[in-house]
Amino acid sequence: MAMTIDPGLVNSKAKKVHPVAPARIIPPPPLSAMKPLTPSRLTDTDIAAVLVAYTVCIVGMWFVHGGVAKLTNGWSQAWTSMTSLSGLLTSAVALLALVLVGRPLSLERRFGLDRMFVWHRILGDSMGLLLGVHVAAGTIAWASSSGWINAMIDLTGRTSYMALAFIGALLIGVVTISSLKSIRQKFSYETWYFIHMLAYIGMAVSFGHEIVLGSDLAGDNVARWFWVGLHVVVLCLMVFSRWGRTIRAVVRPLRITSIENVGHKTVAIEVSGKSLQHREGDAGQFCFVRPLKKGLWWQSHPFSMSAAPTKDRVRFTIKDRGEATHSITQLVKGTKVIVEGPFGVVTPDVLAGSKALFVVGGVGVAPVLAMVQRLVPDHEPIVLYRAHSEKDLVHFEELKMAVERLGGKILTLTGPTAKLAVKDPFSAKVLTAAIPDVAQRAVVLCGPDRLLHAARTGLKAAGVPVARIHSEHVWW
Amino acid sequence: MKKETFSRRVFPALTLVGASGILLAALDRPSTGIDLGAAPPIGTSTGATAGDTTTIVGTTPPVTTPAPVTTSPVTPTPVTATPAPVLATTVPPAPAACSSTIVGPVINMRFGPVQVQASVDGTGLVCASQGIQWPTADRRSVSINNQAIPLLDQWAVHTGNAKFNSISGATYTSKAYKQSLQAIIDGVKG
Repeated sequence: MAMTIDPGLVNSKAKKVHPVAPARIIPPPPLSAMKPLTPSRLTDTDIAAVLVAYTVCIVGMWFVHGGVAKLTNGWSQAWTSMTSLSGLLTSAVALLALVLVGRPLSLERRFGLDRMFVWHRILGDSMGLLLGVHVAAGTIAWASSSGWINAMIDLTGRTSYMALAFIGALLIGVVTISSLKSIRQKFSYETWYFIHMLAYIGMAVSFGHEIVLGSDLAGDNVARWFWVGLHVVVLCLMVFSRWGRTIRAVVRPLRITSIENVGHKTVAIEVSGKSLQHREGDAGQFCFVRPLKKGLWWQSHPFSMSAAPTKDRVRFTIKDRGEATHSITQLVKGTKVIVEGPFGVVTPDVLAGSKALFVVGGVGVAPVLAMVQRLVPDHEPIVLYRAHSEKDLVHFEELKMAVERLGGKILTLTGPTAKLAVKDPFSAKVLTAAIPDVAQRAVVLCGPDRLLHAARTGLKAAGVPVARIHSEHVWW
Repeated sequence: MKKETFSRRVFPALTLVGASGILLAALDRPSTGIDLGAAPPIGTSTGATAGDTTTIVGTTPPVTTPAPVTTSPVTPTPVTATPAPVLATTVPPAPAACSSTIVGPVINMRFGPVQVQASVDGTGLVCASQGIQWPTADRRSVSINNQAIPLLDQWAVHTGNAKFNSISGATYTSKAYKQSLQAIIDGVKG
């Protein structure tokens, strides 16, 4: 049976300190394993150059057309110039945000979808602010020459294309507000998602006024073609990368081949299908799962793979934690599912040969279970498994076997935090006592937000460099 | 991950940034009226072709000037005193044989009609040019065109043709103005 952390460990002196081992190589996965991930070929300089060139083009357009000169040329012109700049930037930021959710593999393999979604949210917020500036400056500029009432009438419809732009701004405003953290939590994920889709419509209907009325675009053919080209490129990315991948997954759906209970309210679902042969994936990644069943087909949720993926099957472990996950645990064998992915950058490669420590909370054990299958005895994996209660330790036997085969160990910690003997089970003191060589290890964290935060703080205090602490960010 | 070579890192980056520079260089540089003092183009004024009296009038399509929006409480202010910016330098001396004033066609752009009258010498060099009609449907148009039309008038004479850059902020007016002016020039040159 696995050991249990008890507060007594804090004073235990009997722990053996392991010497630091030379770098180890992760063994090649077995032949049946899914095709290995192709690393991104983008370098830092590529990404920096794209961003610099993009900014230069867009701000440069405004500058070359006399944007700065106009700023000092009376209030009316200054506001007009502000309108142009903020309008250009709003669209520029929106396009970048779209690129991020277009999930191009070259970026995903480098940064991970989780981080890209976080950036998407930051860009989305900035876009909302810029749009506010754009609308305000535009109204003031217009009002300064024709009065407020006329400006209102002109900007909401009397000038052609402005009616559409007005609707676009409203839609984008709704999307931005619905995505504010405090408001977003009031909606179900699906409601929020469909509101979010309005952003596409908002951008589409705003395009006309940019091209026809935008003072930097309307009069300059080069600028206009650049602008159109930019939108076409992003549209192509969305079509081929984002929607194309979904369509491919729809055309060749996978099927549930087994579904079984693996613990308290938790099921393991195995899916298989021919299309898995062409995918690239590794242990530790996650997929978006969309069951093709009445009432469920329009929902897609991310789940970690709980076994190293192979060319013919992928396993997910899913805990019944709410409406959506409940209905997934009720699925039956033979159901078709659309699986998009795998995505994610926390794979055994992040360990880079160091000894491994996994800090797991509840069903967060899934990706760890998969990763452990890819390790070698040199990794001496230690799994710190935190769960509500004994019955929430899912896949325990399987994990134990895999870890012990490698000469590692599992430390479990169950029970509500208030009842633990130590106030903070992830304090540096407890961690160092339980795992004397913690500072030499590469750490992978998987679990709920609070646990990630507590563990990260404790690990840093225990001397683990931040670069060696890996986790997927939680974005939903 | 494989270490990238120096050139692999630098060349794509330089190419991209260079391309953005080229784009900027290719952009239209609108005039703001500030740099009007540049040397005037040398026009080869032959001054010949006497009897150059062809007056273009008939090309004006039957234009119905878009009626000012009636719901607007704003009455179009008659533009009598156009605040023309003062030129810093002298306007090139008018070539010998300038035609009498020719009225150009009315060009309807998205905000309203624009019309130019100009006198042109035998080679098509513009001696004088003056906008005689521009959109006045709303106050914004009036305020924009009050600034733009005098500048355009100056540019036309300054360059002697209809190929000068647009006035920033008055793109549509500029385009229509140049179109109307070009029609006059084309008519003279035959």
